[in-house]
Amino acid sequence: MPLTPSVHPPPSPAALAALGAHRFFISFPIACFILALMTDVAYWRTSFLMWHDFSAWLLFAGLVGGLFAALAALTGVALGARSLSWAYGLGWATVFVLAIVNSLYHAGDGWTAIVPTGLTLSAATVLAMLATVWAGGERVRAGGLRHA
Amino acid sequence: MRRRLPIRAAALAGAALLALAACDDREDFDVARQIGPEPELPEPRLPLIANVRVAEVVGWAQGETPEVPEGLVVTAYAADLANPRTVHTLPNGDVLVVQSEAPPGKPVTRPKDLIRDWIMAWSAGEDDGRDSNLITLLRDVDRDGVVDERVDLLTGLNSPFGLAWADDTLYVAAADAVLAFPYGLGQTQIADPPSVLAPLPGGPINHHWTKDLALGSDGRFLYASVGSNSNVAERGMEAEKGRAAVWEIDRATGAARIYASGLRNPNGLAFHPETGVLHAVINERDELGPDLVPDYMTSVQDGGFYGWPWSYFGDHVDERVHPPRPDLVAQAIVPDYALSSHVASLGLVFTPGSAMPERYADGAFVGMRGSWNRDRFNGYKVVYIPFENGAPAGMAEDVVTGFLVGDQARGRPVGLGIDGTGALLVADDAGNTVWRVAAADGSITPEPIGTDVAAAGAPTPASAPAREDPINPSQTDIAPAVLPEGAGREPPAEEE
Repeated sequence: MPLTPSVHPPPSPAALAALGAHRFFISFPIACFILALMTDVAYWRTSFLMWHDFSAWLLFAGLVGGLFAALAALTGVALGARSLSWAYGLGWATVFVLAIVNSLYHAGDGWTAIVPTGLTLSAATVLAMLATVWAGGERVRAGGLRHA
Repeated sequence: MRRRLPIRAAALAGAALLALAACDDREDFDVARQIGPEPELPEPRLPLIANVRVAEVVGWAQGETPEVPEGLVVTAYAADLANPRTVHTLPNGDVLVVQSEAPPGKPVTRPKDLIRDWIMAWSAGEDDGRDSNLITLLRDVDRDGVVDERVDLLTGLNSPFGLAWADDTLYVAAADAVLAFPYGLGQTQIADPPSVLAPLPGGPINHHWTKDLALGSDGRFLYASVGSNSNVAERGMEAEKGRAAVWEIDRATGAARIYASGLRNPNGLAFHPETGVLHAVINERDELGPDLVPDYMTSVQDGGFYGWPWSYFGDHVDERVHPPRPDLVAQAIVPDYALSSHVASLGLVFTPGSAMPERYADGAFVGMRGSWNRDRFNGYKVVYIPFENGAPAGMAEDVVTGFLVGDQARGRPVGLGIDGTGALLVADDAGNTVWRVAAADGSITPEPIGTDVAAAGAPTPASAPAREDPINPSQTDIAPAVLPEGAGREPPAEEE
């Protein structure tokens, strides 16, 4: 009798591939949203509008990466992967709602687009993201490896 | 804990969205409260999503015309043009129609630019593939208000807009320079290449690209308008050197200086025929809500600073520009006459000397291309503003309307002129037509009056008194395109 710690059947190779794609694409919002916070701080401290432009593009790139990450995650779940928690999905949904609102603020012109609201939203986005990754990221990796 | 934090964040984000949606509720605002010398200026709002409403351009069907009040008649002076922007009448009564489109190649600096450019292109109407950027000559030989001859005088120009003519020379303000073409009255072609009289701030951004032009009252100087490179300096002040200004250019040498600055997007340069004072209409800034900031018509003072980007209507500070410059805000001149918000005024012509009916005999027509940054349309018409003693006196009234029908634009009025018979001409860049609005009784002027000489014989305006408190930093620091760094200041001590 085979020894298995899981009550679920092992995920299919396709589901594992989708989870791999998710882990690849989710690195975009993680990096971009953290960098956007840094460029917002740079603008706040210098009034140099280049940093405003950087922030706007970083938020945009993070959201595009996030879209692909979400599609990959949903594909994985549809294919039977069970290692993604509700907290993880809801957490990322929160992050992306914050980032979309933040993008709209960053589309404004000049100082008031960032100070204080854009900057605050960038910080809130990063905090929500850290909480989400901490809460759910470990299970993605563990879940993926357990059945490999 | 692991589950609660994201949920709380989601609730917060949702609440934020609701709050933002709610702040767009607003009671009806009567735009007439923003017409005149003392406009009502509500508190600025920074809506999360800019109020955008653009009319779809459908064009004019056969036989359709704009509407005019009793006592006037409107006819199509020339149709099937390619984005006519301005009209200019020569002393012999020939009318030049400048047709142009925005210069290509504007860089995308933010994701927002992609959306914005798409909206602007849509509001200009579909590209019908006709070549624009040309100047067409219209000749009404028998002065009956009907064009008898039509010929393309110049083609392949770089987004031209303003014109002036003096001493057998046709000056064309292209998107990046004032060009001088040898051209005698009556000629129907120009063979010689132009010389560049003076370069103007051009691309690659060239956000407000239309350069208007007017010949000064004494004929020595040309005045060229240069719009800003941004809404409110969001591309940085280094992109604004020499911009948001009116330039004075010596016709003989091409030497140029900033005549006035802080004018976000000035157009419709015109000298008042009685006072000889330069006037212009200015497009003010967007994205402070539907009722800010009113466009305006103003006399333009030598050395005057009108606030952009730091403030509007005098000392109303725009918080979006950082660092703030209270020293410059304190210098900002309050403009003469507000035209209400987002109307996009681009054309201005004075009526003294024209053959318009008595009601319109002493004042100015203003062409308003129409709003986009507003949930209710504003503009899309030509208005008349009565003057007294060379200054606006009284409420603006609609004169040429019917450009907008429901949510659709049949045309969009831009530049204005008085033709060789004394009737009003309206360049309709979306409707590809020049409209002629004349007195219904058929009265015309005894002689053609050219746009440039309309001001001849006017007394030379008393020169503005020199500023006792030179702006610090100097005007040339704000807009130093014409002077190298350090010029105009004390010469540096000689080095050993």
